[in-house]
Amino acid sequence: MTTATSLKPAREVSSTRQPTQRSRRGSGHLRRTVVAWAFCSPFVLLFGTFGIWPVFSSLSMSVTDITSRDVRTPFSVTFVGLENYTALFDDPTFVRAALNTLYFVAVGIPLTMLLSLAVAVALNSGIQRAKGFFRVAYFAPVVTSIVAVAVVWRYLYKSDGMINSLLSVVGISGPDWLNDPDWSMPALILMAVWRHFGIPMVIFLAGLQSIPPELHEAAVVDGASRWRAFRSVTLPLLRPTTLVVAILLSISYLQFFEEPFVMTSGGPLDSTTSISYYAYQQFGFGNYGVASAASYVLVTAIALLSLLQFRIFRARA
Amino acid sequence: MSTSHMSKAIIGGLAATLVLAGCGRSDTQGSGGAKGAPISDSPAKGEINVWAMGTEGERLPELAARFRKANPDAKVKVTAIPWQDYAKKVETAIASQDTPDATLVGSADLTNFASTGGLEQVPAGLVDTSSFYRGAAQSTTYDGGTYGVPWYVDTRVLFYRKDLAQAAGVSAPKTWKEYGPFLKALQKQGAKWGLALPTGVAASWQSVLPFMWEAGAHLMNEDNTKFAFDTPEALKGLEYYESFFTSKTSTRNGTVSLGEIEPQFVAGSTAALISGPWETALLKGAGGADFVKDKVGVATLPKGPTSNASFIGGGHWAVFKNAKNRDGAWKFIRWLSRPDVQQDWYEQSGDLPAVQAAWNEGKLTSDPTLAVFRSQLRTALPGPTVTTWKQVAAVLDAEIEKVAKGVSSPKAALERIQAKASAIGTGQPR
Repeated sequence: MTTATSLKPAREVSSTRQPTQRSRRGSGHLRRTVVAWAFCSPFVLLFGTFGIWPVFSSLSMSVTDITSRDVRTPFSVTFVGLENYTALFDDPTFVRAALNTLYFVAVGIPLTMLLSLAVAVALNSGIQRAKGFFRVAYFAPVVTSIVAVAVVWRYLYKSDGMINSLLSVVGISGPDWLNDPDWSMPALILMAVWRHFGIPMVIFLAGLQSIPPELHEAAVVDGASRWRAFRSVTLPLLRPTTLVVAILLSISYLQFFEEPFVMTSGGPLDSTTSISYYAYQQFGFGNYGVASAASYVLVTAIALLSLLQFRIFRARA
Repeated sequence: MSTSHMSKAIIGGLAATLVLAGCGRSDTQGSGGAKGAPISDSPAKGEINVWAMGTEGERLPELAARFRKANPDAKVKVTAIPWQDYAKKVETAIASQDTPDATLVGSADLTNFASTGGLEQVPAGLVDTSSFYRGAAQSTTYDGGTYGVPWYVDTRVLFYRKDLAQAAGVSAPKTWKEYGPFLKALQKQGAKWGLALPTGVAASWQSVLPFMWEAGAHLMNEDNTKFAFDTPEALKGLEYYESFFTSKTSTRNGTVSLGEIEPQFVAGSTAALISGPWETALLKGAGGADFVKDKVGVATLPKGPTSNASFIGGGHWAVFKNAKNRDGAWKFIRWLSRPDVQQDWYEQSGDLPAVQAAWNEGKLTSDPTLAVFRSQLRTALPGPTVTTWKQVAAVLDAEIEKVAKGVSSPKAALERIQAKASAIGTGQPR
């Protein structure tokens, strides 16, 4: 779909260049093609080697019994069909990881979208003064190193940490966040939302700024309340933006990895193990076949969810 | 348009798979085959490329300069690599056959590297295996061959608050029977928790397996082909571990990250912990040199029904099959395992020598803390030397956590460990 739209301007450009059409069939066309490929080839080569090739080699690895013991003799591995995939779904840890990932996606994405939209709307209308400051302040978590983030948040989440101290002020005795299997996921989701809402916010902000203010003013003149105008004018016009945000978020949230990696190592009691983390562990054990299979389950999930979102949003648009 | 591309791509991928499928696993791969030629006593020559990790990598060049004095025609080039993910780097090097000459290897990883066939066996007569601590030498073997030379060792001992023990009128426990009452006595002196035990962090097994060993468990059958976690001895060890939590001597929510326990120990809220030789420096950082001198006691682990075994880790040297300067590399390694060089290295790095004779001189004999480590090293054991150990160890970590948090009984945990470990297998050449 995206390729179809990006082709359009190119076609228009070529149709305006009528005079050169004759030379196209001649040597000029050939030279142009060669030059074009010469310019593209570094990218094509790099993308092919590090982008495309690994995708297919891991697909073929996922149906073999390859382990780290085979690194010197990669052609000695055996084809095992879908055995790695069935083994995955027989492994309670993987099933738990898949459920955890779903949990993260189902709770994390709506929260992130709501928060980023709310902040974007606030930045777009309310806070006129120091707008730049707030934009940077809200975007800062995105560019902060996850290690630095982890150090700070681990302090916040300690059983006698700042979050629980604040909770105790209002009379709630907080849980031992990272040590309690029931609270470890909410803790990581909270941190992930804080860390990730900057980019959606910027995208929403751009979307909001592209909406002509007249539309909003017209609605207000017609007697609509601010909330009504937001719901009936702003939100529908934000639909394409929302689609982009939803897809970007689901791609990155399905790959839930950094938070459990730096905060909990997948624990306590596997409560924060994600599919990515599971695959990473299996690679570490040298089980390249199983790890590739887990990665492909994830790829499939991402593809299906993106497709579903396209369907839903296109049907409404 | 995109769908036809996609289907072509999938067919291409499947074709690649079929190519792989066509070639069955050959039976000959696996162990590294025969030992290489013996190493002469002449001085080393040429450039020797070595990889070393962590602080060892940063400090090794100084030591290598000394090697050069005795071997003027040789030059040791050290590449320092972080421990983090170094295993992938070594595996990649072996796979691409583009390796340096020698590398430092974490003792738990040696089996894995050896199983790829990328390491050379230690040449006959290069070093005297019996000169090393037994546990260290044990972790250099794989499938009947020896693939590494131990360089430094570490083991875990009991660190406790000496001042609390004195106030309570108790001395360091010698046996399991004295262990609990000792810790309870420290708790009565104001510590919230007696002993810090790992409860679900990575590598918890290194602190929990000793309980099983101390109770007499072996964990593997005689010829290292099957796991044996479902034994009465292993159960006794794990039940003992559990008893620390049920008696409220240890918290079910142990510390999660590195550096978290030291402030608690300094503050006196946790009275004892089990850790390695690096702990003294960490405690100095958290509480100052005076704190360590006045308030920290060190003792070997209390003896269980069978022994007081602890876990032994450390670093080994290995030489790659694709080494360009094989002789030079082995000569350098032979030199590194000389007792006087090992002493030098201890002075420089604080790493404990793997060669027992190196402990007979200097600070290594006089320091009382080191004496504790020395006596602990005599009984310390490595984890099983099978290629799947990392994976089995992760199962152990997970099941140990369930016992610690009280959601599983030791018996059920061991049954699951045994079942999973058997399913994973020992990864010996198929």
